Amino acid sequence: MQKIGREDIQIIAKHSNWSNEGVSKALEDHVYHKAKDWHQFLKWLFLGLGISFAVAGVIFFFAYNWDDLHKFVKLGIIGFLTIACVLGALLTKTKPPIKKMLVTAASILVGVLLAVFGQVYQTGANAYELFLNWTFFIALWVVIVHFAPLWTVFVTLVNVTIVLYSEQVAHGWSGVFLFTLLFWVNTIILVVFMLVGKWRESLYLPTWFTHLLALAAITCATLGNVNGIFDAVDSSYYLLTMTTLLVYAAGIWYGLSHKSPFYLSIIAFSLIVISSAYLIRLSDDAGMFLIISLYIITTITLVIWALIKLHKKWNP
Amino acid sequence: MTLLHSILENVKNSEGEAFVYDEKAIEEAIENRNNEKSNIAIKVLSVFGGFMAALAFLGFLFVLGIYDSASAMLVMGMLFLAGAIALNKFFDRIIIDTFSISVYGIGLALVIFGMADMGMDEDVITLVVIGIAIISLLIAQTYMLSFLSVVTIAVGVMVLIFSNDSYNLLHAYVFVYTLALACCFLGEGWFLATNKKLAKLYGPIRIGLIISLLMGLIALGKRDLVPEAHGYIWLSSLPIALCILYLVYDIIGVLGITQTRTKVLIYALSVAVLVPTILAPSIAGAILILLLSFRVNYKTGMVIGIVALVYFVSQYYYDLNFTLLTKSIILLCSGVAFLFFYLFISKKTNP
Repeated sequence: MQKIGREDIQIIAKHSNWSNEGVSKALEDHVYHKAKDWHQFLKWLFLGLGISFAVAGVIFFFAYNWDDLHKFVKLGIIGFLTIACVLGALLTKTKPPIKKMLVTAASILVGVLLAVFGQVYQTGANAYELFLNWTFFIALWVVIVHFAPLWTVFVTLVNVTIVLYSEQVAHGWSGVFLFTLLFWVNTIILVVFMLVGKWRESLYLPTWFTHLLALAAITCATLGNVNGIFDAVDSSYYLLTMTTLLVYAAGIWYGLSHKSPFYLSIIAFSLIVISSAYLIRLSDDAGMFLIISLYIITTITLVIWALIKLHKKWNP
Repeated sequence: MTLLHSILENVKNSEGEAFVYDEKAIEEAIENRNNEKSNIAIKVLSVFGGFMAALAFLGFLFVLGIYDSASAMLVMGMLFLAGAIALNKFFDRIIIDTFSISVYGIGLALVIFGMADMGMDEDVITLVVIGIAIISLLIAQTYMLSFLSVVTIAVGVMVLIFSNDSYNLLHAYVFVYTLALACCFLGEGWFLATNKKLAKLYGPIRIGLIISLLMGLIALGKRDLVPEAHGYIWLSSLPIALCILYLVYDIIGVLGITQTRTKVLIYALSVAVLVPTILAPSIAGAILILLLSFRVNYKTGMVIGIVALVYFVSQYYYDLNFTLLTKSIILLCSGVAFLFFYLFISKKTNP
């Protein structure tokens, strides 16, 4: 029998008198996992469970003894682990993804090392300095190894550094300014990665990563705009609005030209949220709530209708 | 259409002469399916949109002062509910989903507020809500509304349990939903073959049951959430463990293992893994969801199972009242046991 899917079986079963046994057998043959899949699955499951439990056990063991360890031992252990990971990545003959994961582990250990250093010597530094230093120290590794999960860690660190800086040092920054800055940083990183991917095939990063970046950037833009609608204290709000419109227009163009419904969906959703916030700002009497309710239903329905039409056009 | 015809020919061969099918309906359904691809983005958008719109409309009614009149709320609520169900009965397009979810949500909220204002007993209100959800499930046939109805029934039962402080009934909840989940997953053939309506409802019921079971497991997972229920915690874990063992028996059949010695070894190892989970039904439940989903190749369920497993195991060890040293030893031993499993399976598949 040719390849048929679960939906095909469902449709046929609905419109015929296919017997229970027949349907079950068809599902077993074509849809359910076979022995080979089970072997793979169980192997990976037990390997993953085994490694995570064992590592957790080791971590808990050190946590138990932590206070009693001499400070050289504490720093020494983490330093040793970091070096071991990096040397493992450089010198052993394993597959590239495993090497890259070792460097990712080493990068995270750098942060742990900095934290332990701060705790042991009670430097009294701001948390933002820890994240800033962490970001700088692993920057070279991240660029050279060019591994999507490691880049995710790096971009997260950049964002956290900026947020902590605004909280602990730059007390004059308004909420809108912070969101504008985050939005710009994430968007610039996103655009750089897209261009780099186009320029050199080998430097292409997986879609989940660019989608995650886009999601982060648009969340910052949405929150910033909503914040600004209710509480715009300085000129950064107008800057944010202009750049948001420009970036969203570019995003929609990109989504349409590259047949990617993802960008269109999140930009549309963000626009609906921002415009609803604006409507609430205009007035909060009964009539406005009704208008907002109908507005949301109408706009989302239109967006879904457009998405379905585009899907049909792109997949004839 | 030739692919379809060849498939139907094959089915006819295996079923015999009694097999009849409505060819036109099947062709139409496949045509429709290609036209109305609904992916997860669209589903999430419609649920969020429906929810936000419902909130805004309720805000409108609130500012208008409808909350002063209990009977007005009740009447409006019932009208909205009837409207939503009728909409779903007669139109089955994704476009309508957002609108119908909002209308349904608004209707339900109004009915609840109306009854509360009239001074009805909390339990009666909950039972009425469960009844409405059951009726919606029976009448309306769309995916989203059926899914929401299944979840509403589960939420209603949970509310009943919590408001009456009969926390040990949580175990009955987990027991019933575990059985329902296992029957649903393993009896897919029966669901699809028996009845046109059941076949249509299968998808939403499946994911609805997973979410309902997860709610029960979360309630039991965090130790401090419902401390009273932990006296009889094994009442929840035992049915789950038995289901998992039945599943192991099923999987052994799929894997084609015939040697009795291997079978006994596998059962023994499974029991060894399940015994520690007696005190943590949430972990056993996550394992069950994961295994069931993998068995029937249901990707969403697999992802939910993995995420649930990670979450419940982390929570369990976090809450554990042993010293860090004891916890570390337990974790290390479990880790080594799992690695033994891994080596065992690697050896079996690469002799």
